[in-house]
Amino acid sequence: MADITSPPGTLLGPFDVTFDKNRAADYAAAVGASEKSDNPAAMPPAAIIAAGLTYLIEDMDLFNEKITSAGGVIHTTQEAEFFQPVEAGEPVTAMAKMLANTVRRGTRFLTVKTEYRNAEDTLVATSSSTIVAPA
Amino acid sequence: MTSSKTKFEVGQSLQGFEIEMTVDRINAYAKASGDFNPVHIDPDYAKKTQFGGVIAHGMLSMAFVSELMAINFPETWHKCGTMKVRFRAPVIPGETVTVSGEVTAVKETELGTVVQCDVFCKKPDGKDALTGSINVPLA
Repeated sequence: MADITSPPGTLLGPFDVTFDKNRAADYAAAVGASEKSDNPAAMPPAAIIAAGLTYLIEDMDLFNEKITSAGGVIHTTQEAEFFQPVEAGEPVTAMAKMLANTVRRGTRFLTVKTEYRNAEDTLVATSSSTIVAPA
Repeated sequence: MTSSKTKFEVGQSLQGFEIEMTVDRINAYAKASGDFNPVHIDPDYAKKTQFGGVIAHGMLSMAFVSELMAINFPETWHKCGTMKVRFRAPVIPGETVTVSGEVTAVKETELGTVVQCDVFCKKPDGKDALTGSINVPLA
């Protein structure tokens, strides 16, 4: 398990970010989704990225009392690249790596890159999340 | 809705939409994403934060932008593309946000024609909640 002080190169995961059909329905309801696609079973790409981010935050324990009482974390930037569609129920595993972890003027800047692979170990997406936290 | 046969030109506006950020929507998103950060779902906790109350997940605004792309590029958005977004201001329950985009480039690449767009999620006062840049192929 990583934490907020984990150095660059630290690995996080693997995390199961599979969206079963119930979870996909919750997501669609939240987004108001009429997301149209040639493949109605395809998950919105942003859903997979969101699930991955949640596991990163949990793994680094970014919601602990010490951090939240000091102002909590702020997600500032999100990048993502999608290579092929992912269907609801299709197993997807995320593995992440801390790319940067620096402190400047009392604020910590974390950048984590995540790779998402399907059951055939094919890379289906990557993402990079930048999170700001109290140092 | 558009298709791969649609011509895109620099400066062209994408078909956008407005959507209200409700507590129900935020709670549903927390359930779907697994992100139960109390600043999104616990009014008592959120009141004590710098935001003074519950705010929506930034990733929910990003999801709206993904929806924007799915509406405008239904044949390809779920297959491949890139996006980079910056979360600039929180959206609070009760606010109706405007999700929009504009074509900034149409490029011929090894993968075929790729459309580059700037995307926005704006708060009712016109301030940016999210800005970003997206590349999506046409086929």
